[in-house]
Amino acid sequence: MLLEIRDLKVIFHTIRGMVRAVNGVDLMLNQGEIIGLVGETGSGKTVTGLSILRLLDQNAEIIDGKIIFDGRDLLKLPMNEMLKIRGKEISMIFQEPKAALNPVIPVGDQVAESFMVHERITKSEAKKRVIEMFNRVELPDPERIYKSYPHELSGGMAQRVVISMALALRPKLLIADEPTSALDVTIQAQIMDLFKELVRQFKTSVIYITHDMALAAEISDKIAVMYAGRIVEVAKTEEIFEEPLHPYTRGLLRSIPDVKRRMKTLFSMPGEIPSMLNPPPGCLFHPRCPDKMEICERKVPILKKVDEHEVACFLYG
Amino acid sequence: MGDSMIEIHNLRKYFPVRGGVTMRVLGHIKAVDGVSFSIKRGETLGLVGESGSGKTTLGRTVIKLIEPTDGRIFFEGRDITKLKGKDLLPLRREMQIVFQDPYKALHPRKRVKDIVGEPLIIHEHANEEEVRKGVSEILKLVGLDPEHMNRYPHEFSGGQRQRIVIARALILRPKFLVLDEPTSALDVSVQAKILNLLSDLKQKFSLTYLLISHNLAVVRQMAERIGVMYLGKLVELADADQLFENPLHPYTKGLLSSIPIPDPKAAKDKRRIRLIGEIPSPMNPPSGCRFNTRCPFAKGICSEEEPPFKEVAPGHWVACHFWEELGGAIS
Repeated sequence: MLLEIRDLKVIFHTIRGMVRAVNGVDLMLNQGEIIGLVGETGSGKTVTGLSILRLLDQNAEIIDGKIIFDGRDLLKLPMNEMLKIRGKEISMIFQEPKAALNPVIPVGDQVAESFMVHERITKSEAKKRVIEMFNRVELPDPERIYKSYPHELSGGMAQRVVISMALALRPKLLIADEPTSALDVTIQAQIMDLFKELVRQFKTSVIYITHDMALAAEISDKIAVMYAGRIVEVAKTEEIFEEPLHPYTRGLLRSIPDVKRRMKTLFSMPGEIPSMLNPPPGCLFHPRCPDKMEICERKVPILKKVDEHEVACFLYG
Repeated sequence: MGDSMIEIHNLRKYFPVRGGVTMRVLGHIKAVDGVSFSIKRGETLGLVGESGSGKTTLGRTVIKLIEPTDGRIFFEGRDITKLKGKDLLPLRREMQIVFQDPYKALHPRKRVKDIVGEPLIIHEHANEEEVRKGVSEILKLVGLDPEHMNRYPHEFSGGQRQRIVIARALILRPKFLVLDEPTSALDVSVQAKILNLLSDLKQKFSLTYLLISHNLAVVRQMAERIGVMYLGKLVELADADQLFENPLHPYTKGLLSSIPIPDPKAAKDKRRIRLIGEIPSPMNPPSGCRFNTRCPFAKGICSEEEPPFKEVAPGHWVACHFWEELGGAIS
């Protein structure tokens, strides 16, 4: 077990009150495994990712839970220990590659910095390593790119730079938060191919955060579906698609328009995601659930093993 | 001809790029560079393409939000290319647009009633009572509670805001609507609702749509015919089924095989055509076929001669020198 998140709870203090962004998340990840963390806006997937690296905003607070990484509880580590882990053992890729890069420093120097900080090597040695990394992420003309500023790169190239930076020190765990959402579909396909190949080669474990079930299907070994701050279902990727158990997973899969055929009307779930300022009692999905039972309004279901799935729903006992 | 809502002939839109101390014109961004098509009454034409393909500029030029540089636009058989200022006003009742981002398209400090009702005041000099009645009616039609007309945009969710944008576009009962990425800012479960709403409204008001989207699955769901744009030009145009089942242009093939498929089994044995590189700058488009720099099948002629856009089967148009030879490349 590389990573074990137990009962993670994160709240945000806002002027309108306390928002329960993550409300009891359990997640486990084995060495070399790729898990797709899927959910809609506000489901808490990004906050879960940021919590692992303790990169949450000032107004956020982790009020409960454990994040055990490689035998250590990250939430208990002193900050100087945490700094050694960031970038070296766990790194993260964000949606907007250009927002992740410093606009006034050549991108090569930015990648070189992680080598210099964590491995204490000279700048010229670091540069060699960077050029090597740029070759691996298939950047054309690495010497020229090394000296380029972020605004001189296209979105696709900038994301390649960010990927090279994230994988430079061969971290054990990579958290990728919608890394291709800002890119066009043909560029997305290029980046996904590259990303898949590199993480397999480097045997990196990945938490792949996305709102796109199709992307998750392409990359993940298993998928965890989040809804309103909780994980409602986890299973192997094929299992999730072949036999989704949670009514939310089912609804989500049915809502995706199919490129292969045209439907008369698209399936749509009633209602909208609940406000996390005052979430409904019981199962958070019950106001929208087609299979609602009386107990769902009173009790919060916990993740339980059902066949090959883990699912948080009273339909399954 | 009589049944076409919109016809455009050889439409061009160039944006000047200025620079230097005197801000002289250094060149032009050829956002739309010679596009022709027609949209039949009651039809939905889908327009797909990546960032920089010119699809958004085209959509805005068709309804004259942007002045075309060259070419002609016909609306219900009437040449509207040269219409300006006041002469355009009656036309605005007939053609409207729904923008991508419902968070930016709504004035944050105006009430829904004023946002949705404004066209009634401008075009029909409606009084307070008429506005209230009109707004209430249209809000019901787009699935919002008329009681909420005095609220501000921030009090609504993303999906509800897009309903407000749609209500504003429809309040004058236009005939033609440009939908520019209407669901790109929304989650998939909300997207399904908005797409269903747009289909219902089309039926109810006999609307004609030009649907612009980078999401091929959305266009597949909504459009009867689909045009594929690349660097300011239409490279393929066909019935939706035709385009998806028998794409002829290598760019269309690459685009279709880039779509992630929400089915792990199908994804594994999917054959892919990977497009190399990225879309070139529209200021300096490649010579010959604009796609030749990324085309896996490009030959000598492709960088020298621009392929004509021709009808190769009934209703199926393509601009490629080698479409015949490439027929079996993907299927």
